[in-house]
Amino acid sequence: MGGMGHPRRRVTHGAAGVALVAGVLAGCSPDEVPGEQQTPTPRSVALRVESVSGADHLDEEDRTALETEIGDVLSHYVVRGFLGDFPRREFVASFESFTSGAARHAARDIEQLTAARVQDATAVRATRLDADLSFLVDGQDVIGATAAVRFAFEATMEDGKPRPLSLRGRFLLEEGAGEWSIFGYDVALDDGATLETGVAP
Amino acid sequence: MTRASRVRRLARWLPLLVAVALVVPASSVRPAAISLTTVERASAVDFGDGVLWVLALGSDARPGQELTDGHTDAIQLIGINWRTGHAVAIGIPRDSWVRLPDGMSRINNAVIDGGTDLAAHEVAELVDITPDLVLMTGFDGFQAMLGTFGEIEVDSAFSFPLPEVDLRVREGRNTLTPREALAFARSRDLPGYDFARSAHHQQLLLGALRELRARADSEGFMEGVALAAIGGLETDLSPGELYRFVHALTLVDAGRVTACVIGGTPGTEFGASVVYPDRPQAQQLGADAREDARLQGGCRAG
Repeated sequence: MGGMGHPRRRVTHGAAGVALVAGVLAGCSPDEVPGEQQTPTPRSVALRVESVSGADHLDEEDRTALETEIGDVLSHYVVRGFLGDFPRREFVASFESFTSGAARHAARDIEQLTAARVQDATAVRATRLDADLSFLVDGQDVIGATAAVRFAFEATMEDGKPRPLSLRGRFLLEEGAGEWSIFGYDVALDDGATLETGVAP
Repeated sequence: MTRASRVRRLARWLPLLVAVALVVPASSVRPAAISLTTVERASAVDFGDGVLWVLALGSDARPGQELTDGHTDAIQLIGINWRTGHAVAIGIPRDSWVRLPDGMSRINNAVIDGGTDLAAHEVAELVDITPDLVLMTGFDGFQAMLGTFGEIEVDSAFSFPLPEVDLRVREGRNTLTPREALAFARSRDLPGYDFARSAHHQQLLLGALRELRARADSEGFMEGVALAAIGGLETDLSPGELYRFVHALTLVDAGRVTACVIGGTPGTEFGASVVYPDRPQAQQLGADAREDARLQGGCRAG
């Protein structure tokens, strides 16, 4: 696979998009008066997208455009699936960028693909949003990509205690009619729920 | 899967917990608590539902020849159940004596006579399952695709020589380079005649599946496999569909794969070796596997 690689290139993508949306949704409501004394709410980190394989024959402009487009798809998924208003019951909107077949599967796996497990939390913020992209390029045609993700979140539960969540794995993407969509996934969610085992004295 | 994975995770930690419990002295100052979190996995690929039947053909076309100008010396009908992760491979001996439009012939002439459509038709006549998809490769495409794996592990039921690559295949597990794998696929001097050769093709498919699943998380690996498949396979699938298909194959559990080679009686027609296929067995295999890609009745040989 040596021919598929190229020097790693790191792009902090969608910082404005994710951080702004998360800040608005987790921080303050439109009714709140600027300047009013409030407890500062830590903001979500920005999504970091890195091309790690397959894009070495693309020029800089095309590569940046691809990272932006895929970053937008992932940002949309993260914001709708893990961030936003809490508590809430609605997470299906996170699958809008999935193909119809993948969205059907995702609806079945909604507890492993979203923050549905912590739906009673009062807030969720992202503490790590990393995505490494491997592209499938045939000649000059960009056909698809794998996004290897390492996402981490912190939910603030009803009792005020923080609960960490992490999502690791792969999202599979394809380009069609100028738009990228997710046609598959293979991810593992650690929902931070503890299995406590006491050791008696 | 949810509950099972939680139990599995707890079970994995249980020995450690027991060990901790044993080494903590009874006079410890206070109870200790070990917190474990649950990890649950989810995977899916949008490549249709239900069972997909793929006819995989290996052509012996020489360099410069069209694949359809060569004999199909590898013929495997593969069923994949996307819902359950089961898969089945039904091997068809290349010398199977069948009726083609121009008369009786070996089935490996079907592609030369009528393209992949005729090969699919002949297989459907034999097994009573119509392939949804045909994939055909040649020597170069085969080696290019295996080249993305580097090496592949296959099992052999017996030991035999591969003089063209200066290798003796051992009974049991063997690790082969792409060139050795091609020699393994083509070897004819086997105790089991054409049937053993078809079983070797199934071993290669299984070895490729194991590699695919084991390395799917590696950076750029799936893209490399897909690119080799785009260049090495003749198919109606678009490059994008092939990419989806390659990813979808990782959903197949190698432990849920069953394989069988259609039996038959060796014979001679016009001075050439042929196999009179066991048609009742072929039909029974098809009926058994058609709906769920499983051979619950075994190979039904004899």
